Amino acid sequence: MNLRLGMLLFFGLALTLSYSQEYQLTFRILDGTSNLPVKDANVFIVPCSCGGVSDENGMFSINLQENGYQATISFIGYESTGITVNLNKDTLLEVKMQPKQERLSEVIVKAKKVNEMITSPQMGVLKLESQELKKIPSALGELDVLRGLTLLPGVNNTGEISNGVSVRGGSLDQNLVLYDYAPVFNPTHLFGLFSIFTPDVTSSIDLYRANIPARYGGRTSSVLDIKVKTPYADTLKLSGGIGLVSSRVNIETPLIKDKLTLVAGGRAGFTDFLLPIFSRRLENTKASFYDGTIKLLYLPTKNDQVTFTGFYTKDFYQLDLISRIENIEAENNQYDFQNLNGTLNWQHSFNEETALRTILVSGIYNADNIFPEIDSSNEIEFKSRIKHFSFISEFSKFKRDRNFDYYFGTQINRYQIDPGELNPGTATSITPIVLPQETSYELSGYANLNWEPIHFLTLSTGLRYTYYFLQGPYTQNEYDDLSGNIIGTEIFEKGEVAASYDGLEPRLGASIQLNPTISLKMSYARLNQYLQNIYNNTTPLPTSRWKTADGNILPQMSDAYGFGIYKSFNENSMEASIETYYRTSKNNLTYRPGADFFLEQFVEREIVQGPGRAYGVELSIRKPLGNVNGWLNYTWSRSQLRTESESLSGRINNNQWFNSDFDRPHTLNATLNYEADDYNTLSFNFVVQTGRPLTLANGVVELSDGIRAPIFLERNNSRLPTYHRLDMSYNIHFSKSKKNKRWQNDWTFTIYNLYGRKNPLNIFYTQRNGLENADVFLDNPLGSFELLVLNSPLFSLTYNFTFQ
Amino acid sequence: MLLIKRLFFVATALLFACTEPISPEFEFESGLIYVDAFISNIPGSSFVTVAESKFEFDFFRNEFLGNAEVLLLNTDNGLEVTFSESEESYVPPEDLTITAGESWELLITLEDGRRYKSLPEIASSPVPISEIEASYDPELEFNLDEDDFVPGHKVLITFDDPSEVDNFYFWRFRSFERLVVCERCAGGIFRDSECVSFEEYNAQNSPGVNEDGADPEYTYICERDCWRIRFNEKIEVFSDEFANGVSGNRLGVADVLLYTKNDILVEMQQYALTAEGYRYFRILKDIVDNNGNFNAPPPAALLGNMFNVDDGNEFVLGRFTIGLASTASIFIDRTAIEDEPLEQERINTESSELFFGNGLLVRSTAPCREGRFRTGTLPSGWISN
Repeated sequence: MNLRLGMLLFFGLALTLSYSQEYQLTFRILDGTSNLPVKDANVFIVPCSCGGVSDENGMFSINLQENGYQATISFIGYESTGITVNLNKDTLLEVKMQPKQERLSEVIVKAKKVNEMITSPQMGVLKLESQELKKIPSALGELDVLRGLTLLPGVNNTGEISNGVSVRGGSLDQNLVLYDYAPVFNPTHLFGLFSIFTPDVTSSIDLYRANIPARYGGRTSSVLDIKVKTPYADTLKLSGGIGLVSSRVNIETPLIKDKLTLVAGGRAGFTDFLLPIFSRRLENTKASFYDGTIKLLYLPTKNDQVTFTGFYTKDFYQLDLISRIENIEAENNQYDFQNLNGTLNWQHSFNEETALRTILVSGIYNADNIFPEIDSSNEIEFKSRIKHFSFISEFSKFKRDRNFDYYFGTQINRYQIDPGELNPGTATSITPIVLPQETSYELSGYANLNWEPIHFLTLSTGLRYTYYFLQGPYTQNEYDDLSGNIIGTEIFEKGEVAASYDGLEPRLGASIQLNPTISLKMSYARLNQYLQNIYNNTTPLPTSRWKTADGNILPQMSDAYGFGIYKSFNENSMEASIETYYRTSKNNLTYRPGADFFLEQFVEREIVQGPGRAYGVELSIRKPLGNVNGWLNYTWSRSQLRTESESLSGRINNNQWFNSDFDRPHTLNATLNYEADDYNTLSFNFVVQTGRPLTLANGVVELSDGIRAPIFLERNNSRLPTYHRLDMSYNIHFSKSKKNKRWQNDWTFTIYNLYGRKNPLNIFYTQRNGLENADVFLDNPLGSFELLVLNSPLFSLTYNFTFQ
Repeated sequence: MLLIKRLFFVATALLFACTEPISPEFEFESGLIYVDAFISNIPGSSFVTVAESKFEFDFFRNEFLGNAEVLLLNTDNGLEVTFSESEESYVPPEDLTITAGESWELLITLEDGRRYKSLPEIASSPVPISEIEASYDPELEFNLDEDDFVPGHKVLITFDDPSEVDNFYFWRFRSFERLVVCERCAGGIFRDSECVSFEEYNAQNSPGVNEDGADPEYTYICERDCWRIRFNEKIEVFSDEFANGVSGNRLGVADVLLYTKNDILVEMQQYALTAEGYRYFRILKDIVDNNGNFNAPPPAALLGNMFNVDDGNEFVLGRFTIGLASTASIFIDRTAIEDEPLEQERINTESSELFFGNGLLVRSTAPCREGRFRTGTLPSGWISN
């Protein structure tokens, strides 16, 4: 009875709202100088308070009732354009946008995707604009994608040192990180302090958390899609910055007028001189990092667009703190990590509504540890690498007259993993080790349809099918369930399929717009994951092992459900939303107690797979417009795991649910920007959240030689103290004070951790050393220390310039 | 080889880290059974302790479970060896001999009838130490309490790893330093084999002590040759997984800190473990030594090879380990070292002014009391200057 009543109300409402005569209003947005289409331009229309974003052909269409409208078109680097139209028939408007000559780097796209929160069928997507990112106060003045994301609802990390982000309680490797379609396996510099993405060439950062579009797959938690700006340049533009930790330069220029353009950005960090300031222990430590991105745009015909993106990062550290390595006498330790990715993207437009995109991605990730021997030129090397290759072909169509768009495509991924190689060089004290290579394929087909059957209802449906197989040569063991002993071994020859899995992944989203300012959204997504990072720490290291699914390690799978209410106020000057989600997962990987993965061929012996659950509610209030703008987010969430092991040694918390490392029941973060005038901007961040789960000892025993050992029977049975931090940044822009308008510059002063909060990253036990710290340790059998990354405010000053 | 990874973590920690002492927190649980059983060929080093955790009135302790029946069973020939209770542990008869390759089980029956048993443990062949040396490092290791590097000697050993089998090593050491002061009495004086407070002394003696002129602490020189015994403060293990059949070449296996500048004799004990035994001690090393950095391995339960015969779901902590050992000693002359030692040996003997009227009561020496941390027996390998 209730169902019938609901349907009657639903259709009644639909009939009422869809009664009036509608016409289609279409915009074609072009660069006023080059006549090239402008992608991602914002269209905001009143009085409907609606709008959207132009597609790759510069097109944007919307169905509106007969009326008079005012449209504002804006985009970063262009003057905003206003148009008045009396809509009484289907109308096409061509808008030529004029590039801005001033303040290009500091234009804040206030109207970016205005009202998209209400109208888009996509749920759970977070967008962070690079210009927004620039305003966020950051550690040591470094613009940081991942750190910026942690200020958004449902996004977290493991603290100041975190090699990635956790999205809605998922582990770090459950996020697919794409940089112009290429997967990134190690997204941070300096062991997790900064993101590796070249800041000045980043154009958009989209984080999909709920009904993930069907074109994405391979991770169970989220997709972080970072796009490099496409160089629509007709004049030379040079920009850069000099900071405490790194300096960067960026060039954007046409190479052949209207045919070939280039954007290239690079950043280099040389922090060696800073390290002794932190500690005398670091006086011989070296740490440097680089990242560079180059993107070429080639326009062979009016309907073809070819881009090539190259991305390279390198981290190199030397630490002289290692006095001994077992069986190796090394003077210091060196670490060398590199990403090298290339993306070739050809887009052919058949007409204004249809396009075919073909993408080739190839890349390699190297993570090496080097041990130079004392009194010798020999170096002992530990090497690991991942080679990946992807082919994507996607056909997309936007049907303006029928209010739907769709795309379908295919994707082939190939991963070749060299998990570890120990090369002793000329050293005779250790033997060389080479772990077998793993080669796997993911063959996927997908389709996605966005459909607006009635003007207040938008549906997004997608389906992805993936066939995964691990290709030989491969050696696979069979284990006794209880004892864990090997009871059989199967050897697969080269080319043989050692293991295979397949799965259908439906994606559903629905948006019901109750009125121009309120909408409801629902979502469901199933995702499978065949490649995982395994580690027995709170955050993976760059050298942490990546492992493909095989006969013993099963693919992870998740089912995520979401529901949200979205409301805008005062002509979109304020937005509020509440989203709730529930995600179940299975075959989550967690390490066995005491696991050691280093150069271990059969890592399945060190791993337990089990179910997981994550749920939460996210409240968000945003004020994107005005001199005072910002946001406030509060998240209540839980993230838990469980083992189902029969053997005692494989049980964690005796097979009861336990909090995952990313369980944070309460998180509140706020960002406030005060743009006093064209020259001065003051920004604040405030973060407060429940402390990370921590394992406290259940007892202490004394060994025969007098050493006291803590006894642990539970995992994550307590928490670190509440984490909170306030950051501040002040930006002074000087463009108008210069006689030469082509030269603009600004200074950014940042204080990270303004009030010097001592947030511990970890707490650990130590042996008591006589009466040392007796007033703190009291009569406890063990001592205890907290490990801090920062114990005081961190100041930085960055100079930025633009010449064009 | 495992150490490579751990040191990597330490290096990570030192990039920006600082540490501060805090009051330790625990989630103490009662009723945990801990079995520490180590059987070796080194005289006096074999023992079994069985304890149960008690957490009462905010006080945690491990209560030794006495009156248990402790039995060692040779699973090859059925030989049974009964342990006897001695000073809160169970010790085997002195004639117990363990030969490499033998398989043994430990059976424990507690006074209340609870029965615990080990999985069979096979004695591995010990590998002899071919060379031992010591290298001084003024910054041997970083000490959290001192918040600085501390000096000391690294003991390096060389041995030939047999190639035909996988070998797992575990090292312990005992060090001997000539002891100068055998007793220290704070707020009192040494009389009748113990420190006696001034009040207590004055109540029983006349003339008594002039408390107004007394020093906070008095020291008493050893009456005869006496040596202080220290033990390893870290757990050192090694697997030949990546070095099978090659020499352990100058492998650093012990940190001997410069507590004093007195000469020191270090006796290294190199035990041969099974693979399971190595894994247990490696976990122990992780939770004791490798836990203080950004990427420390999360804590793990110390589950070994013991189980409750009647309850398969009980977590029994600890392990029964057979470790046959070879030993080697090195004498280190530390008199020329210029760095400051960690311990300052302040000598303050009684003076005649301490006593009212009779300086003959002054005492300046104390006996060398034998014990776990002290011996009057000349250590083998000691060089008298």
